[in-house]
Amino acid sequence: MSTPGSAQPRPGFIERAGAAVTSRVAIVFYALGFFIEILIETLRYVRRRPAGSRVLAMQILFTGVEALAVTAVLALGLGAIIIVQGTSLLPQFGQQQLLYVILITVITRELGPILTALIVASRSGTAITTEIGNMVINHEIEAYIASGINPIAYLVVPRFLGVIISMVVLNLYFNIFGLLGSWLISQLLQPIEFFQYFHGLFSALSVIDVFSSLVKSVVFGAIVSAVSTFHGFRVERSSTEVPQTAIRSIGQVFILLIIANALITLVYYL
Amino acid sequence: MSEAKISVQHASFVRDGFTVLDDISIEFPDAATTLILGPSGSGKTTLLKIAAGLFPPDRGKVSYNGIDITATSGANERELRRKLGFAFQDGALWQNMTIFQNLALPLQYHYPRMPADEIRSRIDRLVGAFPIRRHMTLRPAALSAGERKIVSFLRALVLDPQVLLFDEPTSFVDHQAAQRIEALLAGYKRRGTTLIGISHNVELTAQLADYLLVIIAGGVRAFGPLREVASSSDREVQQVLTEVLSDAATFDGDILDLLNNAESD
Repeated sequence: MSTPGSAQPRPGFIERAGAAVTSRVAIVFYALGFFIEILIETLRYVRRRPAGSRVLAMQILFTGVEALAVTAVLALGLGAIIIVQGTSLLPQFGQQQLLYVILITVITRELGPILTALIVASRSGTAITTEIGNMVINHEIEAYIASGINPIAYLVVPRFLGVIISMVVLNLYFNIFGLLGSWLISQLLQPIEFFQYFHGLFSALSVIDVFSSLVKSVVFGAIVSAVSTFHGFRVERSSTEVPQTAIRSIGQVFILLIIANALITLVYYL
Repeated sequence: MSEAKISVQHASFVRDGFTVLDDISIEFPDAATTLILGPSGSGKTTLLKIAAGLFPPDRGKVSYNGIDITATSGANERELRRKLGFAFQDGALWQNMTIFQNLALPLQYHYPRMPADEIRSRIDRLVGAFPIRRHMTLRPAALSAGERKIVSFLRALVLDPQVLLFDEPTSFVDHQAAQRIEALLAGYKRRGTTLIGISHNVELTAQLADYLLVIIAGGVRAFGPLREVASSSDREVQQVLTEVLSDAATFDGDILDLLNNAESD
């Protein structure tokens, strides 16, 4: 047994390598356990009268409402680019009727959800990691536990639900602004009558497109909130860990978003 | 010795390769006050947090009335936590909330159907004579370190716990506030609340402590009734008592004289 208060003897290379691998595996299982705990507490949250409703409202305000402007600008820009490129390129191949399909595919099914997710991850994901990391440093998380307040139920679940709700709503806004923006630009290039334009769009839109977009929003919201909160809790003692953890968190969120997007798109084409 | 409510069994805690606590076993007596003393870095706060179930020990276990604290979850954990209050050394207040919200949240969380009026009146009663009552709408960042500590202390009491754990409740607090905290603790002691804490305040130790626990370098060096430990012939224990109860350096007499003097003040 080691002497109390003293340093342990430095382990050998194999012992350190083994410890590193064990630690990585433990983190994966810990992350899975964390996610399952979020799901369980989310079910409990919707059943009881929650004290965290203020946290949920603030999260929706910060993630959803305050991100509206940047989402609208990005969507309008994207819609404009598609219509400009589409109206100039597609007629060269005699495929101008594909414009609506391209708009729906790009805005509704593919780029809408992923770009919205990237906006939310960049703004709210890093903010969540930083906020929770600082709470850990200031012993606020310990204070929640000491007061009998489950940090998963009170801090994570409202953020989890808030980010998912915001992501779905922002994705809807992205679609509205993207498709509306493309129509506005079309008025400059090749004016199309409003009802004819939207009739064309809705003809190209299927239930599966809407469902795919919705599933992506929910999954992406879950990824952004779960990974960001998980990394926030991994901060241990020093405030210098907080920005490093936020950077690690956003990197992992981006990778997981791209993988999830690819998988859902793959399922769509099966 | 009365029946133990909080029992730490063979607890060890290692952080960054350093053994902070090594195989500590201790049974904190029920309805009595135990003060933990030891030099800086000896593991007092870690032991207190392990006893409160805030840190799970790397080895060993902590139980409250026979229930393993770290193994409880859900409603059982909430029930257990209502009975344990913890006042942090640095306050650990929730920075994004006002002082009132810091005190109200535990009530709102544990008693979601409690009317807002009752929450307010409970908090008013608790805050009582503390000058902090004038700052209820401020955020913790606007308060002094001492005021934050008082709020943390009041938050630990808001659920009316059976066991109160506190870490240096009177440090960084002005003399008047320290006296109020001492009086409040004395009131809880009279009501039979189990008090477990860390304090370097000789008056607090003399007035409240029934038992002293001296830890040195992560191990228990002495534990027993106040007078027994204070009159210990162990030189290291005497040295810790003299150094930790810092005012002792100004006294010529031994630690018992010091405690007697403080008690009679």
